[in-house]
Amino acid sequence: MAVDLSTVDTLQAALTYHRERHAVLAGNVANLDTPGYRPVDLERRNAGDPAALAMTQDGHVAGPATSDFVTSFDDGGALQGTDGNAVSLERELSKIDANRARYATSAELVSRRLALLRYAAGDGT
Amino acid sequence: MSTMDFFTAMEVSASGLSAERTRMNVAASNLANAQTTQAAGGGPYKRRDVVMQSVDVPGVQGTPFAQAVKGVAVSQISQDTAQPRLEYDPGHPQANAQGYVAYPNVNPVEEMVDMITASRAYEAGITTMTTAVNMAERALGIGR
Amino acid sequence: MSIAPITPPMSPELAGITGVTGIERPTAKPDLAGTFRAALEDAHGAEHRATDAAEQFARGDTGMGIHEVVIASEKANIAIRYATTLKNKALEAYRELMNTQV
Repeated sequence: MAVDLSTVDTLQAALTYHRERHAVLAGNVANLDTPGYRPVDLERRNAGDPAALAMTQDGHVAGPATSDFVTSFDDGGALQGTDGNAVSLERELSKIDANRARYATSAELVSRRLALLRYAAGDGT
Repeated sequence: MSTMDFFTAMEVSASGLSAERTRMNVAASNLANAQTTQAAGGGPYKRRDVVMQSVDVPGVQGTPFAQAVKGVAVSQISQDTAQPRLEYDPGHPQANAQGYVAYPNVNPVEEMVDMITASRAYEAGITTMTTAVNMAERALGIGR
Repeated sequence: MSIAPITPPMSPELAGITGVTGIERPTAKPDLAGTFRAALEDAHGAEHRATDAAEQFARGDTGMGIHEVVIASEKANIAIRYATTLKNKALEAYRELMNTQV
């Protein structure tokens, strides 16, 4: 592409990750009282790895591959009762809020980047 | 990705709200009938309980990631089979030959606690769903 | 955007001299028409992708979420603007040229 949009693609991948993670965390909240339920979280494979990051920026990445996300069963926290449920509401809600903040920030960064590119493409108008 | 935008997350949250509301209704019913000595079908009211179970959410395709997204549903409303509470009251119209009246096996304190925890879980579900809506609105605002 | 290397002009007199290692002319020339054509193709492609994305989103296809469709739309927006700017520049240059008093 004549205009360099690779940063936007990386940010889009981040947005997708945070959206999917919200769905997983919402499931933990929904199963707050389900006997035997253990909370789950979503991780990015190679998150923060510069080599992997370089790979995703190269070429046209419309969205991350499913294999880029790994689920993890979160053993963190003691059992919350006698029914085997291990969900800590406070923990989940704080994760959800942090995730939301990251989604909002990525969205904002995309907007700013696009505005810059729009300016450049439109020659200042 | 294998979920349908934010709607999957919202369905998950909605299932939680539904389940917790059922739990609240059941606790309220137990409380209301705590003194019912003559329920439909004979005998004192039997305390009811909800059994919750994780369920798969529609719109999530069969990937390993999909296994992580779970909603919840009330799989059954069971009747408590514990023995009724007997109170000695020979003058009572429902007293048996020994002078005991059978009262429901409902502990009001327990039911109140259930209502409070269900309420707390319900509010958490609302917060979570609102967050999803919030994130979707931010996405819509990209480029504006 | 690539900038082609500058080649020194070869005057006819020098061209005939043998034994001098010729300086290779680069195959890619700075070329407004070529750049404009590429930008137009990009704009077409981006616009098709944006339209497809919008249709997928409207159908409720999995994998096409709000941020995907909004970003696709913005990318098309930028690509079209860029192509338009090049067109305007080319037109401007042409007009200036035509108005030059000889």
